[in-house]
Amino acid sequence: MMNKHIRMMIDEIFADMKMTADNLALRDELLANAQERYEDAIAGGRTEDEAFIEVAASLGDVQALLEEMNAAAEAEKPETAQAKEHEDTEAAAQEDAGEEAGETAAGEASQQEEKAEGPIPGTTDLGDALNKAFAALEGFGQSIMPEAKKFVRQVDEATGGMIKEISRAAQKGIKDAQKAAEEAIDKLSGDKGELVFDFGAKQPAQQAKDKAGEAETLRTQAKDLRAQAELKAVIGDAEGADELRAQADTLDMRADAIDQAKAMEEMRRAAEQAAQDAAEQDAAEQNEAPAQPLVDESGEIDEEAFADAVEKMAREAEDAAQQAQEAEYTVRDADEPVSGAKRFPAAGLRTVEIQLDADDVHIGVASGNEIVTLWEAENVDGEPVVTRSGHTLSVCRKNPDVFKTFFSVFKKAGGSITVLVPRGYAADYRISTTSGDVFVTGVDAGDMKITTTSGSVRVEPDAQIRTGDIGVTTVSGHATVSACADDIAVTTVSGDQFISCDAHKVDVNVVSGRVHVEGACDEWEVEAVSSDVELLCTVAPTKKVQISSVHSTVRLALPSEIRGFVVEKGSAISCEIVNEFGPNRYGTCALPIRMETVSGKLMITRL
Amino acid sequence: MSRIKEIFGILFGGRLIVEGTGRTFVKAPVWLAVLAALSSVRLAVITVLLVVAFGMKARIVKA
Repeated sequence: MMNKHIRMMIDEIFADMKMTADNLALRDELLANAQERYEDAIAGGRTEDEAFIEVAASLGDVQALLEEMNAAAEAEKPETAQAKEHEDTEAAAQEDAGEEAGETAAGEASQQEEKAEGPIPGTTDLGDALNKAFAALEGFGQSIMPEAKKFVRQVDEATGGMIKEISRAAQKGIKDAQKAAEEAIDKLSGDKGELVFDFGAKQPAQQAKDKAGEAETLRTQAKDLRAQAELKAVIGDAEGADELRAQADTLDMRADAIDQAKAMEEMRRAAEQAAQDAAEQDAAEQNEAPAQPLVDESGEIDEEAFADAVEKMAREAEDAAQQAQEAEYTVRDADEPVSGAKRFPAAGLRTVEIQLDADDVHIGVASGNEIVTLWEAENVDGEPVVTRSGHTLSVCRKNPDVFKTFFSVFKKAGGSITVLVPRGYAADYRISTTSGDVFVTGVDAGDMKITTTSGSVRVEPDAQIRTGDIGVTTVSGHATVSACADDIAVTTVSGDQFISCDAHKVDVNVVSGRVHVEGACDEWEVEAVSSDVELLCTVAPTKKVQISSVHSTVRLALPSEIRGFVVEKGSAISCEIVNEFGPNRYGTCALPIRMETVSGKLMITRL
Repeated sequence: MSRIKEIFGILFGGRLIVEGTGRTFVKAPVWLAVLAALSSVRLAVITVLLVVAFGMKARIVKA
């Protein structure tokens, strides 16, 4: 009977404790010790009640000790410390079961000292703690997810599929919102499909300029198409060539129509201006005072009147001279766009330096023997300064300003300048813009260095004469180079590149733009980060093909009649080489094709 | 009612695109842009001023 009471008491002690294996073992051991203690007391001549009271008193101390230990274990958590505490507790319990209550208190104190000495403050390994924390979180997540799903399923079942209904309603709501947005946008924009708030509304003059630019762009596209048609004709694709030629003709017709419309508009404006001038002149003539007669009534010359007449003639001559001097500059209005022209002798020209911001630059061929510069600017402040100093023709901003130069990156609509150089003067060109486009067409050139930030570059010098080195650098602008040159180096960050060349060496640097290079070169070098690069070697390279990329896809097309090559890959993690020729060591010639990449792909195909 | 439907439709079904000259600066759902503007009104005002000052183009297109 008393044994049953002892068991119940011990069960009560462990009722609030987690039933771990350690705790169960501790409970069994405590029960055995208590029963043994009870039997010893009975054997010592105590009554059952006295023996039970004695055992109960000792168990009360054990209960207090266990509660403290549990609280400490909850606070500290680390499992190793918890196990240690259990062991200590067990030892203390065993001692308590065999010793007096005072000894139990001493054991407790010694255990607390041990606990204080265990983890030294400040020496906690943060990495371990984080690892444990993340492991615990991961475990918690893994354990809770099935439960959560189950819970959601149960709630869904319990509520008669309400969760699914809510989910379906949310999806339907999103679809409805999108549909409503489409309807609203169509309604508000007049079926344009988008609401546009354009804070850069263009002026009429700008629109006219855009029209001119559009015509020019169309002609350029037509020219490109004709060039492609010629290529197709050479390849043997006559149908494709005819189709491209037809497209080019259509573009030319559109450009002509735009030019005609522009000419009509200018004629209309000129007629209006002439009518206005005539009206003003008539009004002035009517208001003009009658001329004083030079000869008085007695027939002698009136000196005063004669002096006035001479002075008036001198003033008119001075005005005429002034107008003649300023005839080259046409100022339409203070707030209107400004245009102008200047001519310089071409003899001795060696360098053309242009440094502008948002203005487009056109370099072309002059028909005469003079250098002709024509410009259009948004206002007087935006006019470029054109000077000829020694052998250098310079074009720069009137008021160079770092602030304006920086913020012109955001501004695409600037003016434009056209520099026409006669044939036969192979000057070096150094052109720099921020957002202005650069077009070089048909000129004889020495070295060319073109730098822009967001402007596009098109370099097409006279193909019949070998140009010097060509260097093009842009950040986000596209670069198109079509030239016969010594070395060609094109660098873009996000701009696309199209290079068609006959050169000694082509060096292509790109980060994320697409690159297409075709032509005949001795040496090819490509540095790309994550772009698609296409190299079409119309003639087999004689020196090397070097490709460095991070994870770009490079397609290298070699002529079928190539004598041979050796493909090497260096420092690659997952370089994939697809070789249409078969072996990477092909033929008898050892042209090195070296691919250095991290995870790029190289495809070698037949042209 | 239809006006409210339009506004909510654009708010939750539209996509805001702010384009500069040659590059796109913002491309986000309208509701997210509105939320961002509400969370920092000063930043939103400065952004709008810059957009207007530099003559950028703001478009709301279908998502």
